[in-house]
Amino acid sequence: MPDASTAARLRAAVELASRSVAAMQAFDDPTLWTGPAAWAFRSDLDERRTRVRAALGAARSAADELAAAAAAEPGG
Amino acid sequence: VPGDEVTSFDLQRYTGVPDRLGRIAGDLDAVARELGYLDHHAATRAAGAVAAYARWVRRERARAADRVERIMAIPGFGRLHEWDSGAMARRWHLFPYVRDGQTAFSLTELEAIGAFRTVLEPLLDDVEDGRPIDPDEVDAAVALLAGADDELAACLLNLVGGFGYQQLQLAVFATAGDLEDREAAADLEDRLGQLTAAFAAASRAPGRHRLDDAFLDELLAGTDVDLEVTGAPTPTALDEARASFARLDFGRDVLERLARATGPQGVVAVFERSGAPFAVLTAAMPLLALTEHGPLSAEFAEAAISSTLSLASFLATGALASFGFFALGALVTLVFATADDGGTPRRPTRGGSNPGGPGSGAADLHLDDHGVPVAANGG
Repeated sequence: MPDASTAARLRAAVELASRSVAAMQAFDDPTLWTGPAAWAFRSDLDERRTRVRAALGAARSAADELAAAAAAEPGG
Repeated sequence: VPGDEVTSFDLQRYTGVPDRLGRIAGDLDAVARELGYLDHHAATRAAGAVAAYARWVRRERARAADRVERIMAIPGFGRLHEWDSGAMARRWHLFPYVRDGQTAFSLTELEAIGAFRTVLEPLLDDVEDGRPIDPDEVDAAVALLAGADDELAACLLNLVGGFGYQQLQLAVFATAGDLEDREAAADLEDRLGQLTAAFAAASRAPGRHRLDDAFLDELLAGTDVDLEVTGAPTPTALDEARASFARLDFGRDVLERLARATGPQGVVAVFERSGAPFAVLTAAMPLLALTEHGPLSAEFAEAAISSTLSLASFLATGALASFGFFALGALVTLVFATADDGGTPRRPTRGGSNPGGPGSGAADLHLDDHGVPVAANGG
């Protein structure tokens, strides 16, 4: 049975994770550091961010579906 | 960490990076746990992805912490910062050692600053202030430069500056002992060779660590005199000289100034005869310093140029001892004796710039009867 509470917790967790992932962008800053190690970090950051964002996107969609299903339930 | 040696950091901000990354990793771990509690396949997959991301952030935090630890472990570096409790951050005081506007430093540059502060600066201060030279300080300075790789040598010499390099040579001479003693002479040859080798290493350094033009400008400062014996440098001769000197990447202006002192054909001849062009500059420096004190007689200039050619040749073949130190010693002594009248080039503001130029700074120097540099004008 669709659970509105699970949907809300999932959505909140996804938002928190997205914020932390976005915060990593601050370290891709050529005025903070630059050179081979910084370039390697940037490449790694891009790759890992893409991967985690895909998983978070799927979780967000799942939260939306759960919320919609819960709303569609009688008395939802 | 691969690539770190040529990676540069804004020290003021980078030292706070490990803490910031640690907080982000902690937040991600908490979210991953929360997602793991939810009974849903998408949440489980997201928990795994977030946990993996958190592990990567922790790895980066460890790397950043390692870099900061390496910086803090550099001898002499502890005295370059203080804790600003208002901003909750370290405040760094590197401005006396860097070029104007430089805010980012590689580990090699930071290592050079630390080594300069602890090993070279006290010795150069002694020379500059006309205090007796401590042989142990000279030993440490020569050992530091001899042990430096190309990048570190370039960073160190950029901090020392052209005048400082000359003063290091003077300090080596001042503590050389009796040059008629074969062992002392051999030791002097070895030490001078190590300084010259450090100069050569610095000249080979790539990229941002290469020897700054400012160093060479200082080294060759004051050669803008018109010697009747030299004539005007010709483009062809200068081009040939530059080609011979290609490994050192000298600017044309530096060569022109060198040519004004030795004559363009003289420059070419020196380079052609020398298997190790960097040795030429070492040998030519006393001559160039001499020219700072005004026009020389044609006879003296010719004699000095001839000595320089011979000396450069012997330096290049490693036969300096058999040639005898007296020519170079006499030239150096003349330089500093002449400084009584006109002023020796002095160490400029560190970091490659020289806003005050020759003539500003502390006491003039010359060698006393024991070869010890002393203040000539009372400071």
